[in-house]
This record gives sequence, structure tokens and C-alpha cells, in this order.
Amino acid sequence: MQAMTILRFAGRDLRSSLRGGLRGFRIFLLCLALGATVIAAVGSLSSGINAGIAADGKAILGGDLEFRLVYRTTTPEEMAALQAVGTVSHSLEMRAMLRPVQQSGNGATPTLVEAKAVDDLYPLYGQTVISPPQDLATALAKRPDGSFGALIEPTLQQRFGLKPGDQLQLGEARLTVSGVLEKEPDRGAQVFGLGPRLMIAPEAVTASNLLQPGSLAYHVYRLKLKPGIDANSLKAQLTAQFPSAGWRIRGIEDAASGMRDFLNRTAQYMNLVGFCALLIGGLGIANAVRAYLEGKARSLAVLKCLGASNSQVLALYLLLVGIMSAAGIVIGLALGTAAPFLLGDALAAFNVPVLAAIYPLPLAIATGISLLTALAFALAPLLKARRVKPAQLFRAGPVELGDLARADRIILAVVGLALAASALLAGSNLKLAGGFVIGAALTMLAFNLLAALLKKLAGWARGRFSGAGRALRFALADIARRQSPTTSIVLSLGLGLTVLVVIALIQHNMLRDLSETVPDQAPSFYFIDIQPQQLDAFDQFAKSYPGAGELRQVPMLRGRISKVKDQSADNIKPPADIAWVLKGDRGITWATTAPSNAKIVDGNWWPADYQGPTLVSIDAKAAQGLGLKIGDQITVNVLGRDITAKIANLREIDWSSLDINFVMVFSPGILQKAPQTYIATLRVPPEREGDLVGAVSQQFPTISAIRVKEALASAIDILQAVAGAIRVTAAVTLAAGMLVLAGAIAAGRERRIYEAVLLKMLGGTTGDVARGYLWEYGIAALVSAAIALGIGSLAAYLFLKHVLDIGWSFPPGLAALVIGLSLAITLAVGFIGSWRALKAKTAPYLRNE
Amino acid sequence: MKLPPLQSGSSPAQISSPSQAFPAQPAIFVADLQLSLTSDAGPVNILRGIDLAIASGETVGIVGPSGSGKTSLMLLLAGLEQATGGQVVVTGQELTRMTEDQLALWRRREVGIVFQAFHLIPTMTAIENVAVPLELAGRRDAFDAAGKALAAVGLGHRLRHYPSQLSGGEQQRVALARALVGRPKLLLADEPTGNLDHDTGQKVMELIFELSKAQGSTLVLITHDPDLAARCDRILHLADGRIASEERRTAASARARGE
Repeated sequence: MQAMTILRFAGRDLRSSLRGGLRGFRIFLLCLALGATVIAAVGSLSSGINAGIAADGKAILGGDLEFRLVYRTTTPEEMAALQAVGTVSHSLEMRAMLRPVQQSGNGATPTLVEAKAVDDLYPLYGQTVISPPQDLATALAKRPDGSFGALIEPTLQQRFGLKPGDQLQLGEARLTVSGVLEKEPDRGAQVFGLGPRLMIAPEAVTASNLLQPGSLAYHVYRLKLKPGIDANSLKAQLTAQFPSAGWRIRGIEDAASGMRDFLNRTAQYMNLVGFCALLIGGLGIANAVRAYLEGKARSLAVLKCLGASNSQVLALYLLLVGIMSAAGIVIGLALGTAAPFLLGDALAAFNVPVLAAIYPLPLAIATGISLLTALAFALAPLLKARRVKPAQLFRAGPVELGDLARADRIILAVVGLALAASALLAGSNLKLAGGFVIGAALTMLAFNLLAALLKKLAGWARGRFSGAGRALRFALADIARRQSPTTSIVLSLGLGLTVLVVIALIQHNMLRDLSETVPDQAPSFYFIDIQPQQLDAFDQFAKSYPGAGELRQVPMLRGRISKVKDQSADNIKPPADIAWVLKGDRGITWATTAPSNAKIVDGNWWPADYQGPTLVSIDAKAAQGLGLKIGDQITVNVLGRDITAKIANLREIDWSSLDINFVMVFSPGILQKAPQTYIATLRVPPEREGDLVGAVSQQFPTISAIRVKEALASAIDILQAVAGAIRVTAAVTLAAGMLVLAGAIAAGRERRIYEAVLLKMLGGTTGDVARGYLWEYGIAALVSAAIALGIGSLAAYLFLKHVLDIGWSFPPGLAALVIGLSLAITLAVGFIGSWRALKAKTAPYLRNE
Repeated sequence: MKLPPLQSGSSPAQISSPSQAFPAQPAIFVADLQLSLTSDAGPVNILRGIDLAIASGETVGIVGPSGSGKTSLMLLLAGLEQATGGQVVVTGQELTRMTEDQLALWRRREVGIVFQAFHLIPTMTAIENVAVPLELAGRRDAFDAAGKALAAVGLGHRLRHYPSQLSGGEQQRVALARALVGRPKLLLADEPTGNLDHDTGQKVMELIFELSKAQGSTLVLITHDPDLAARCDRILHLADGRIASEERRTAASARARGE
């Protein structure tokens, strides 16, 4: 019977609220829907991407298993073992300089391409898409004129304005463009390339004569297994059978692991920003519920006079808030569910597969978190409402909500902790989520304290500056008022702006780190695949090239760490930040003397004439992560041969210098005799960079030039795209802040109208009233911006310093942008919300009741 | 009691030529004043042709049943309501031709108002409330004058209190100080004792009469209390949007009442 009574009461209340057009609850609905949308959309989208990667796993990997070898092809034994279990497709990947051939026969400036030679079986899974449509084998076939067919990526086509039939020069081979490679099924496996893709047949590589001993080339074997063979057990079996093959074997679950990690990390940051939106929305929820219940306070007091208990009152309004929350969450879930369907095509353009479907888990998580948020923020006014004192009815003046009891505070703390815990559970990176929860709690606390301080200051200042102009004093009086919207404005707008400041600062500093600070001392070019016999000629060339300087040539081999001490590298789980050291092959070198940029932090360099057992100098950070110290042994597989070396010293490496740096530098000896090429860096004045590429490629067709500026530009492009995605969610937090702001100003509308009427009655003009608002909103906006800049800078500084480990600078325009944005939003929302007060007719408010 | 309009007292002819009745220009001159408001049920005629002249320094009580239009008349005299028709001249200004802001500027110079519900600004202290009209007028000595005005109503010790910290009688005295601080030519009071107990109301009324007389302000008092009305120079009876009757308090009648 209790429940039915409450339901009936709730029904009546809901009916009257609906008749009022849900005025107070519109902000509530919007805030919750917005937050739920972001969480549900980000979750659904990343589930869709993960499912898409899983579904396309074979196509993305290009087979059931992939074997990647550097420098060498398989041995006959290895090939036999592979062919015994399925079909093998071989492709070769290398970097090379490509030059369009123009009618006159003279080439344009060559460009670095990621060349990929594929055999007849390619692709084992998935489809290539070529325009104009044609068969892959035909497209790559040798032509009657002796040239080889080639497919190019759209960017390459645009750069040179190429069309089918145009000719290209690759080393000594002449190529003819057959068409544009619109889709390469296994492209997703390599997210970052230094140049655009060029697809050719293996015969074209042979004809180019680019493949020299030690040339940096990858031989990739994809295996399509016969039915009934398990990929994982085969992987284990082949690893055991060929312990020193030095190949990197990847299965479907490893396919696109880089892309997946990258996208998941992006999703994680977007999720955190979504949480911010939800938290700010929570403030809107709290304001809306409080305003609603304050309007109901008299009826609540009457209900209690008539015998309603505290718990009945709580249950009644908890039910109402629940119904409203459900409505808001349903809207959010509907929009969030649509995300994989709406954004799938856009992401497909970036080779990101999205499986458009409805994903229950992220929707459930979004529902849970949104409900908890709504509860956490609505609870304080609800608990106060049930403690409304009916005695107030018998006195003059307004009926106010009650005060929180100790038990209420405990309930609030428990719900708050539950919300924090849910944030931790929803974030896959516990450290990041934990930092966020603590940061968010501290930020909220700081904003509350600062808003309270502002009120105190306003109260103090209004007495001091009585001559400072009435509009300012009216504004100060309003800010100091107990229930002034200032706290809400500062909190909601300030939090939104803080998120904006943090993101802007992190983005600015990451971009600056990539583009501004580095080039001052960084080389302009990397040259790879310099044959030992070309060293002198290249040295001559560099010295005679006008303006060129600081040439450094270092031998380079590729090798994989196969053992750390006595433990197989496959069984080691290193910390995430140095996992890359063990993943795939690393560049290694040998040297007689310490490199000029080496900073030895432990141990000693070997003598210049050292001839003993192999020693190695290793990056201090990697050594620490792998638990290595001086005297320990590490084994590296180079060209299928295991080389074990004793650690002689540890070096500290500053990767950001973009100098040539190797994690491992070996003593001369065994490596000296292995087939190898040299890598070189060179600095030239920026205006001469373009010519240099042409000159090098003319004289040394086999040497590839990597222009640092271009490589950085593509890294910056990727960073910009990620930052763009995160900025969109940041805009959502700002939108949430605006909603809360609008709600807070709307909540005080009746009081505002009343005061405006009184001022007009006392002889104030509309201008007087407006000037008061200008001060009030202006002060709130400036304070919000100032606090956001302070807290946002601190948070960004900590993140940059301790998580990204990069330098810090503050872009000069940011402060102006934040202050301007804050003023614009607050004044616009404030004046729209106060329009009624400015234009209010006085008479109706001054008649006696 | 249904009386034909203007049965006793002044006739329309007298009012339209005020110079006959009053030697100086009247503080208030109202001719054929109409006010109709739109409600959910259609237009409602609140005032149906009021003609009135009040001399400078005169005290006038307006009495009448609820809904007779007393408050509307007062709002029109304060320029807080727009007349539907007719003429309202107060302190020499034709209010019906003025904009809202012009009215505000005029009001801050010429008019003080006291309400039944006090209508103090809740976010301001007593002295701040009283200083508002002077601040709006740009007076540098706003706070000094406000302090004196509060002392004059016996609240010199409550300057820094907020309205919520004051009793009803104190709040009304703050409102009175606020109404009179600018030395207005016209003081309008709408049931100023309606929310107060009898004794407190008596004290507030004493102050209203005393201070408005000391400043030479014209006083228009709306009241339900016949005793209060009787203390005015003139009593207008409003009924159904018209002046139903009017009494002039002569020295003789005052004596008769005071018996």
C-alpha cells in the first residue's frame, strides 16, 4: 500500500511537471543525455572498432599467421615447414626513392615511398580495390615496353598528378602506372608509414637493382592454414623448431595491435573527457533538482504536516528523479548506439574497420555510470528535501529545505565513492583513471572553495567600495547572496574551461615538442641503405654540396632481442613504456669509440682497439625496465644468428634530439663482418632541401632519403587528428557547462525579476539593471577563466612533466582565448536568461497578494 | 451600499478647472483615467474613468473594497502601470506620454513608495536598501543620508542588518526611510500597516504622517482602516473602478471625530 501511495503521488507530481513543459527538468534531461551520449558513443565506437578488427583480422594480417624477416628470405627448410601446413604468400617491403618520368625524359624531384612487392597469391584474405577496376596480377604485370605495372596510393597520384600510363623510375627499373590502389586489405597493420605506398611485382624489385646485401628490406610470409590446424600451437611449434630464425610471428590477435592500442588509448582519453561532461552535467542535475524541490518545499511541508514520513518523501522524489534520469539516459543511449553506424564510413577512410552493431556492454556501462552520476548529484537536495521543517508553514517568509544530518552525509559519501569506483572500473588504464578521479575530486573541491572565497570577497568588497559605482555594488551584493548563481557559474563554466585549457595545453606542447624545439639542432635528412663501398663517395658528395654539414655515418643492422640474461624474450613482460624494445626488430650498430652524443651513466666504454668477446652498450632506461645491469648478458638475433654480448656500460639517450641513436651499440668484431649498410644524417639549409633529394637520387639511386620535416609532418597530422577527436568531446564539456550555466541563471529568474522590479520601482532604469548584470556576469566569467587557467595549467603541467615527459610552454593566445570565451558565453547566456527580468512589467509584482 | 458616482464632494467641472479649487498647480491631476487588464477570461475593466485633483502637501486616504482599483490607481500615479486611457499629471509631468526609463528617472526624483509587503531587496542591508534611490540618482552622500533617514525612523542601531534579520515593523520602517530619503514630492503608501500588528502599525503610521508632513510631501494612503483614513485631509471611496464618494475632513469634522 505504501508503494502504491507513493506511485500515485509521483504520478500527480509528474503530471503537473509535464503540464509546466518540464521547465526545470529540461536542463536535467539535456545534461544527463549529453553525458550518457558521450560515454555510450565512445564505448560503442571502440567496441565497433575492436569487433571490426577482430572480424577483419585475417584480412588485416593478410593471413592466419605472418612471419616477418628482415634482410633475408626463408631458408628452404623454413619454407618447407610453412608449405607443409598451408598456402604461403611472400611479399617484400622496403623504402625507396621513386621519381616520375616526364615526357622530356628528365625526372621531377624524387620522393620516398614504401614499396611493397607482392606475389601472385596476394592477398590471401580480403580484396584489393583498384581504380580503374582491374585484376591485381594484370595491373602489376610486365608490359611489352619492358616496364613493370605499378599501383600507387591516392596521395602519390595527387602529389605528382599521375594518371594511368604515366611512367616512374624506381632504381634502375622503369614502371608504368596501372591505376590507383584504393584499398589495400592489410594496410591497417602499418598505421604510420614514412611515405605513400607503391605496389609492384617482385620482378620489378629485381630489375630496380635496389636490393643489395644489408639493404633494409622485410620479407613477409603470410600463411593460409589448411583446415584443422591451430595457428597458436603452430606458432609455438615453429618457434621451437627454428629457435634462431629471428622471425617475428604474428597471429590474428596481434594483427593491428598497434592500431588497436592507439585507438583504445584515444578512446580512453575521449572517455575521460566524456566523464568531465557527465560531471559538469551532474552540477546541472543538482541545480535542477534543488530548484525543483525548493519550489516544492511548501507542498512538502504540507505533506509532512498531513503525516508523510521522511522516507516517504525521499522515496517519492527519488522515484521522480529516477523516471527523469531514465528518460535522459534513454536519449543518450539512443544517440550513443548510433555512433558506430554514423561514423563507420568516416573511419573506414582511415583504414579503421568499424563493425556497425549494437554493443550491449558499453551501453550497460554508460547506463550504470549515468545513473550513478544522476543519483550522486540529485541526492543532496533530495536528502535535504525530506528534512524540510513543517513548522516553517506557521511563520512568515519562505519555506526552505532542511539541513543534512550526519547519516545523510554518510550516504552521500558512499554514493560519491561508488561513482569514483565506477570511473575506475570503466577505465582500462587504472593509473590514468585513478589520477583522473583524484584530479576531478580535487578540482571540484578547489572550485567550490574558490567560489566560496569569491562570495566572501564580494561581501567584503561591497562595504569597502561604496563609492565605486552602484552597478558594481549591486553586482557584488548579488554575488555575495547565499543562493547566488555565482557558485554554479564558476563551477560549471570553470570546469568546462579547465578541460579546454588542459587539452589545449597538452596539444600545444606535444605539437611544439614535435615541430618547434627539435629542428633547431636536428638533422634535415636521414639517408638509409648506404652501401659500405659508397661511404667515401657519399662523404665527398655531402662535403661538396653547398650549405650541407654535420654529416654522420653509422653502420646499421637490424636485429631482434631474443634473450635477456637466460630468459627467452617471448616470456618477458616488460613495463609498457619500454615494451617497444622487445617488439619486432631494432636498429643496432657497432662502434670502436663512444658516439659523440653518448652520455655514459654507468660502466666504461671499451678501448678503441678492443678485440675480446662481444660487449654492448645499452640504453639505461631499457636496461632498467628489463632488469639488466653491468655484466649481464643479452642475446640479439641478426640474420638468423644469435649474438650474445655482455653489458659494458649504460647510456642515457635523448631521443628528442632526433640524432642517430641506438638502444644497443656493440663492440666491433662479429658484427663488423655481417652484411650491413650505413645510415647517415646531414644538415642542409631549408631552402636547399628539395634540391638535395634530386641530387642524391641522381648520383646514388639505391640510397633512400628521409626528410625529417616530412616525417614530422605526418606525425603531426596524426596527432592533429587525435587532438581533433578529443577536442570534439571537450566541446561537449563546454556545452554541458553552458547548459548548467543557463540552468543556474534560469533557476534564479523569479528572484531576479523581483529585484529588477524593485530597482525600477525605486527609479532605476533598464540600463541600471543591465549594468548590474554586466558586472555580475563579468566578474563571474573572469574568475571562472582565471581559475580554469590556473588549475588547467597545473593539471596539464603535471601530465606533460610526469606522464609524457616533455617540456612545458604556455601559448600566449590561450589566456586571451579562455577569457574571451568565458566572457562571451557567460554574458550571452546570462543576458538571454535575464531578458525577462530586464523587460519585466513592474505592476503585477507590486500588487498585494 | 451603491452610490451614484460623484454624488457628493467635488464635481467633474470643479476638477477640470483645478485653479478654482486650488490656488497652485495640483500635485496630482487625473482626468478620465481608464485601466483595463487582460486576463484569461478576457479584458477586465479595473478603472472606469477616474477624475481627481490633489493639492501639493495634501494627505489623501483611499478606501474601498478589495478589487475596487485602489492599488491600480496608486501604481498609475507612480508610473508603474500604463493607463489604457485618460490623463495622469503628477508633479507637473504627463506620465502617460513618458517612456519606462523616463518614468524611472522621474520616480527617483519625485516619488517614494511604501508597500504592505515592504518589498525590501533581500540581498542588501538596511542602509544599502535605503541608499539605493540616492545611489541611482548619483548622490555621493547616499550612505550618510541613508544613515540619517534610518535614524529618523528609529533604526540608527540596525544599519547593517539584512531584511530577514529585522521584524516586520522594522522592515516597514526601513521601507519608509527608503521612500522618504530622497525627499520626494509625493509619498504613496499601499496598506503600509496591513502586515503589521495594531500597535506596530500605529507607530509606523505616526512616522508616515509626521515625516511626510515635515518634508511637505503629498501623501496618498491606501488603507482598509477607517481610523487611519480619517486622519487624512480627504478620503476617497473607490468602488468598482470609480470614485464613489469623497469626504473632506474639515476642522469641524476633525473636532467632531476627535470627541
